[in-house]
Amino acid sequence: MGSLFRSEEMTLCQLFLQSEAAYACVSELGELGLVQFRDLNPDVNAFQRKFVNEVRRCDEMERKLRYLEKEIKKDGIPMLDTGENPEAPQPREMIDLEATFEKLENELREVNQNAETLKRNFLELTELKHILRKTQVFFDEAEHGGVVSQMADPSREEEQVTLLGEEGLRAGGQALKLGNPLRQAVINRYLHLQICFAHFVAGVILRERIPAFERMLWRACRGNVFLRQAEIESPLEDPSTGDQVFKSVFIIFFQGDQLKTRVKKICEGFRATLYPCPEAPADRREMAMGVMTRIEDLNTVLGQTQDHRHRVLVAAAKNIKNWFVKVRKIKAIYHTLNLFNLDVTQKCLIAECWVPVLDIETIQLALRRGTERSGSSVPPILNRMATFEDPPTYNRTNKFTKGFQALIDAYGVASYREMNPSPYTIITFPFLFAVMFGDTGHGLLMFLFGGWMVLKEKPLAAKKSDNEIWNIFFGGRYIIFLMGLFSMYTGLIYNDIFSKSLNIFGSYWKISYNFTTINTNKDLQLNPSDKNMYLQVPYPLGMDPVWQLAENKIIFLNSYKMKISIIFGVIHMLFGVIIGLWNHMYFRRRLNIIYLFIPQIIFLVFLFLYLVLLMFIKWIKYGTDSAHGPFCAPSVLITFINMVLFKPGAESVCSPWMYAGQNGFQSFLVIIAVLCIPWMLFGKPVSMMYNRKKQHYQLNNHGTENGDVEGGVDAIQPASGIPQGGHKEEEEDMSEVFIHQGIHTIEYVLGSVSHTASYLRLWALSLAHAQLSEVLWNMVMRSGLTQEGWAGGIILWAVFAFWATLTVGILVLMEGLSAFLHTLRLHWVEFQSKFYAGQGYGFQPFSFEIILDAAQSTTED
Amino acid sequence: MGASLLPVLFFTFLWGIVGIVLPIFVPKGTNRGILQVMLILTAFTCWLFWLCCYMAQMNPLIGPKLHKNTILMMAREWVFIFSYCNNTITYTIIMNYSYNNVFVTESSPV
Repeated sequence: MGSLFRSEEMTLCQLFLQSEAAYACVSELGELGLVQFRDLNPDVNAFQRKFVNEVRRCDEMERKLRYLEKEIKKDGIPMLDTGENPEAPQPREMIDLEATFEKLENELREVNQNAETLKRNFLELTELKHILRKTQVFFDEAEHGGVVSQMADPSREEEQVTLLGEEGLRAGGQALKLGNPLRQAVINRYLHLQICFAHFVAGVILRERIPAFERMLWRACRGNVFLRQAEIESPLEDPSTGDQVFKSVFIIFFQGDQLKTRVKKICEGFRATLYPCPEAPADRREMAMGVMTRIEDLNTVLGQTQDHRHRVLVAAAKNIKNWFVKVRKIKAIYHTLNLFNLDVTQKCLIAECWVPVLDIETIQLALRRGTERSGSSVPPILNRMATFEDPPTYNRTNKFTKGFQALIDAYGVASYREMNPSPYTIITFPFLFAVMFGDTGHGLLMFLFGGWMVLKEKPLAAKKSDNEIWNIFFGGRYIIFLMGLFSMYTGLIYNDIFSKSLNIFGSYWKISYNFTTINTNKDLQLNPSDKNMYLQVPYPLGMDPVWQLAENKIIFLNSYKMKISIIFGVIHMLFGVIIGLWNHMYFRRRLNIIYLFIPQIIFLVFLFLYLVLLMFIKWIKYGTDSAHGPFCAPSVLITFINMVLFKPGAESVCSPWMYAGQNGFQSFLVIIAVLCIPWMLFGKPVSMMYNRKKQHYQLNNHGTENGDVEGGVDAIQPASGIPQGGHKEEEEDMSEVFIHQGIHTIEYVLGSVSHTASYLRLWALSLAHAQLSEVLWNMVMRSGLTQEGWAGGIILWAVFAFWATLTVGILVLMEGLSAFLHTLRLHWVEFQSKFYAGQGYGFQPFSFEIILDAAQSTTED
Repeated sequence: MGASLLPVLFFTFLWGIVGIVLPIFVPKGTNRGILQVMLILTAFTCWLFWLCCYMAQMNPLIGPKLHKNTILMMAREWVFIFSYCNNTITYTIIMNYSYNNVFVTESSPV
């Protein structure tokens, strides 16, 4: 069986490759992805390896490609992802690729630089244009004395006030609240200033800096300057960052050179750009005209530059994915070649690799292809090597088994060739989950979700979402699918569908009371021994629907669910121990079978399987009308406890025994089970000691019996030398074996008890789930269903939405998660502790597919 | 008291087909072993789960305790009520009887 029950058989191989063929061969192996190379020069620094230059060149190419990709993304050009997988190019093509990328990068950088300069120019010109336009207004007002006349115009007043620099006054703390007369005074002052202030500067500043700027000017110049500002309505593009920023035009009037330097310093400090602004209106007009034409010229040039850039990027976008794949492949190949050894003649590279034995043929074919492609005449040599090292664990999974294998590997990768629990987990995991999640309705939701993911597998997988939660769900789609399916089945048996029952066959309990009895009693308990009330045979499929309505439902269900938890738990654990037998047989550990497996299975069967047996006896034998008298059924738990304590049950009207001779039989079982403990504890070490003694005896005898003198000396020499040295080792070895065996025995014996109890979580979670869904129905859905009339319909609609949300959110998602985790624990601890070592390490083949996927996911992050 | 033969045989047979007969006919291939294990385990777990539920109800020690409203509703809504006589199950439709009975008595003051 090559599949999944045990990991693949692996072998260590030595690979001799001609230097010129090495590249092509490794490339073929990378496409195949079945070879794990070992690092043959682990003490050589990464910078001193043979192909470090090539790796660096690849890094450089990758950097250029990332730069290109960034630019493409910035322009929002769609990158063509054909999904094709180009082969790794020949080493000589690397130079072409490098040249292409170099050219592209330089071109792009140049274009970007030009565009930035152009944009800066454009920005300056636009700002100048705005300055000329806005200041025109200021000057016009000053010349025509329009301020006074415009004062009456209420629509202009607003602007006027801000232009007057009221903000500045307020910031200066001089006028907190300007009354009308005061404002008039300010305006008058302004007019006065207009006339006597000779100098001014104009510029542009970021809008958010204006208040601080005003305050600073006011304080530094002691109120002797006058600031007017107007906002530029349209946002301007900052050429260095590409952000859209809002700016304002300002003009500052002042007098004297001293103030001028001061104002200029402040402007500089606030990163305001100053522009020359001629005083004469004619000059200004002329300048504005000039600016306009220059802006138009610039626009055309800028458009052409952008077009060019776009063309370059579109051309690059077509190939970029392809290039990425190529470069990454080259890099991976050189990286792998760095792990190889050069032989003495420098003609040939030596590699060591782990290879699945079944795939040696395919690997040799791939190597031959590689040699042919490189045109080398000498074929590569693949030699199997003997080694004492543990080979890696390689489980060949498909898309279905992958998720289950991941669950097992999360606990620990199986030791080499150990029994792999995942084939059994495929069914036992969803089943145990379903025992806790038994509800057909919730199971159906889960089944539909899982089924949708399975059906839409290909389109969903192609989307490659980077949402972690979605990826977890999608990776476990088959698990979810099976969990849903099994939950529907267990829900059917529990007869639970959104906490309601299906009455498929008609309840086997019937009402035969007359009306007066019903009416006079608040509640009535049906009598199971009455043939008019109970048909005396059980409902054929699952729970009788009457129990869902009963008030003593929990009492009945608890006893049933606790029992099935123990029954399935004990069977699950027994199954684990039996799988252990296969391990012992495969690894030919005869001692383990005799001193470990047999006492283990006896212990488990004699105590816990007997407990299960008691449950079945109770189910069959005890009824209300049996010969043992009604309500005489002994408690299984008490019987079991008494059995272990060797206590006879209390004799009353009812007999505490279920069958004749039970007491003696039980004592026998317990004594044998207890005897298994020393058997497990001492059996293996003692027999090992015995075997060793026997070997010694034989060796020593053999040495003295040898008649040849020289041969005798030779034979005695090692015989007397090695055992003396080895004796201490052996004793240490033995004490270690004793300790190990002690720990193992204690763990198993205590574990059997605690693990059996641990399976009660199946009952607990199932009870909690059923109760929670019942509470949700009674508290929410029922209140909607009891409303009447047309308003009731609307209320029901809202209530249903609420109920559905809670059902999906709490009962399916959260309860599902909790049941999932408990199932995981039952498998990892209770099941796998019986046979699974999990001390291997995974097989990590050199595969382009894995490398490319990893590279893609890191760049997307 | 006890089990009725039909459902026990039916479900044992059903899961027997899944767990014993189907694994024989699994197509040959690398996944044959996995599929067989899956079928056998599914059949065994599902059969045992059904069996436990069936056996737990074979000899009920307690009967369901029902509220009087529930009893009235059961008598009214669950139309197929099985009567057990002379060791044979006969299906008696007593819908009209019980429906009228409950309806009439409910409206009449007692």
